[in-house]
Amino acid sequence: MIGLWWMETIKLVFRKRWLAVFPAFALVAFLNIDYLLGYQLNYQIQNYHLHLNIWDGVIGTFFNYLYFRFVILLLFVFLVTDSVIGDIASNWVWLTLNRCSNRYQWWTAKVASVFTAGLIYTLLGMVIVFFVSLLSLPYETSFSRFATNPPSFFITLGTYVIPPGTNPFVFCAKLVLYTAFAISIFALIPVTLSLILRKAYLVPMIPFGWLILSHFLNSNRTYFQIDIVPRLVYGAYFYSQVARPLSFSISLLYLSIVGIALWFLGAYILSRTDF
Amino acid sequence: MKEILKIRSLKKIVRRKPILRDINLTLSEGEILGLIGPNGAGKTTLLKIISGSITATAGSVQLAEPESGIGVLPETPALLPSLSGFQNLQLLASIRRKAREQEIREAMKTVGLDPANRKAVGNYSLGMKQRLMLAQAIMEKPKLLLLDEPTNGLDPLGIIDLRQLLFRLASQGVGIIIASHLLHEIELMCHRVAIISNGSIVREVNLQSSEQHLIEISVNSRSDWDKLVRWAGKDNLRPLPSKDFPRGILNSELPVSRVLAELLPAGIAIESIQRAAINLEAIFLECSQLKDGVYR
Repeated sequence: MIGLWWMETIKLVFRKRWLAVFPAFALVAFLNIDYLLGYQLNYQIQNYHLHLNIWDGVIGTFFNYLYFRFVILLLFVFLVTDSVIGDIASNWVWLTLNRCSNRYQWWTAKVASVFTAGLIYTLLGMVIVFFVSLLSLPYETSFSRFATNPPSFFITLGTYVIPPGTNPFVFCAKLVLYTAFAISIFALIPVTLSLILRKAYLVPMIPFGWLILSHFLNSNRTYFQIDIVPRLVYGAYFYSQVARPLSFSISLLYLSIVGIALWFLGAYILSRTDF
Repeated sequence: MKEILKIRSLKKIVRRKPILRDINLTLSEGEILGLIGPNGAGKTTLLKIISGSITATAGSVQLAEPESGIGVLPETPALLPSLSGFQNLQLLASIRRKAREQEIREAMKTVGLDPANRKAVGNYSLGMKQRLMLAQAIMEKPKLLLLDEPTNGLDPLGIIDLRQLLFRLASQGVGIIIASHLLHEIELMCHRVAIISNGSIVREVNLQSSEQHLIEISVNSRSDWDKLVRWAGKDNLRPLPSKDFPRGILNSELPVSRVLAELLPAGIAIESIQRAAINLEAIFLECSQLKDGVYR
């Protein structure tokens, strides 16, 4: 089982398309820093005597729901969504399934490899954003006052507020773990459906359509907003007029239930599937 | 010989269309069985059901030693293009953990590949990919090998190597099933052949049988052919495709000299005549005749 999981992960991650991670994260980091620096120059911020540091670049990039939704999340879906379809098209599934003791083992390894890929992806993205932020913002070992005590008008825009004294390294580690978990659960939806649909062009359209819909039908219906990770996990630090934040434990429970349900659905489909 | 595979009353129906109908087949240790049939006859489906990639609608597939695993060679090479050949096999071997590095190297050398070659598989020729696929099929030393068009992409030397390798594996007790379109290769490689048409095994032919009464004969012209048909009777003469002289297989217990002695006085101009081994091509044509202009 471990061998199978390892093999699936290697197969999923060591592909040329993963090179897209570098420009994608660099781009969103640059856009976010540009946005933040614009505010820094703004007289209102000058008035409050706030300054920015590297963690604003890092956290701001991951907490920007537009970048997160349409770049970070979609790119990950694009990277892993053909996990099953590619195997079927290339006959690889014949070689691997034949070596497994049962189909559930194969499916479990597939699911686990998506989670592992999610962790690698988020970690890599965090490192890229960190170094890009380092180019424009000063390095400090704590969050800036902009992050811990933003001007009141900024809160109404729907941004984050980090409790003073929070260790940025611990916070980022938690952010990586949670983001990896959430994007993996989201990517599992098209991967599971690909067991039935088997159309390489159709499967990525499902999450894309979902994101478009959830963007324009933004509401408090959390089940529809599985993609808005920061609002789930860091709800306590996040203020928004459009989405009700969830506590960390409830969001974990919510995502776990979705993940388990997808595993069972995949296992059921698999028991009736011919490759 | 001990039976290593027993297939009983196997059926596969997809969207109400029967793909396989009541397949019964056995394979013994050290036996090489050929599966031939027109495109879409159900050869690959049968191999996939045996290996577990496809579930059967009814019937059973029994393996004598399921723990020894099945080696599979798909029709098209399925490999990870960015990894080397050795890395590809390492990854596949990591699933069962039966083949260690030494066994992987041996398998690669057996099929004529260098395990130390670090070239990415994406840069391999089709023949090299096919050899690598063969290596992955044999590296875990399975007791049953399923090969779907194994000569695809192989050059003549590769085909000869493959034939020798299969004979060697068979002599070690490995049962092998080969699905192929190349009748000549099947004739050379297999002990027994099953002809599949429209999802059914329409005929099984033992290529090692010594009780043959077949004579291959070619005549000078169409009128000679007509005379020959009248002499032999339509049921005893099967025509074969020919680009020059009319040619066919005569089913007769008479010795060749006696046939000659009867045909020459009848004014039939014979171009060639010889005792024939089982002619798979003729049998295949007979089993896969066109019906109403389409394959049966």
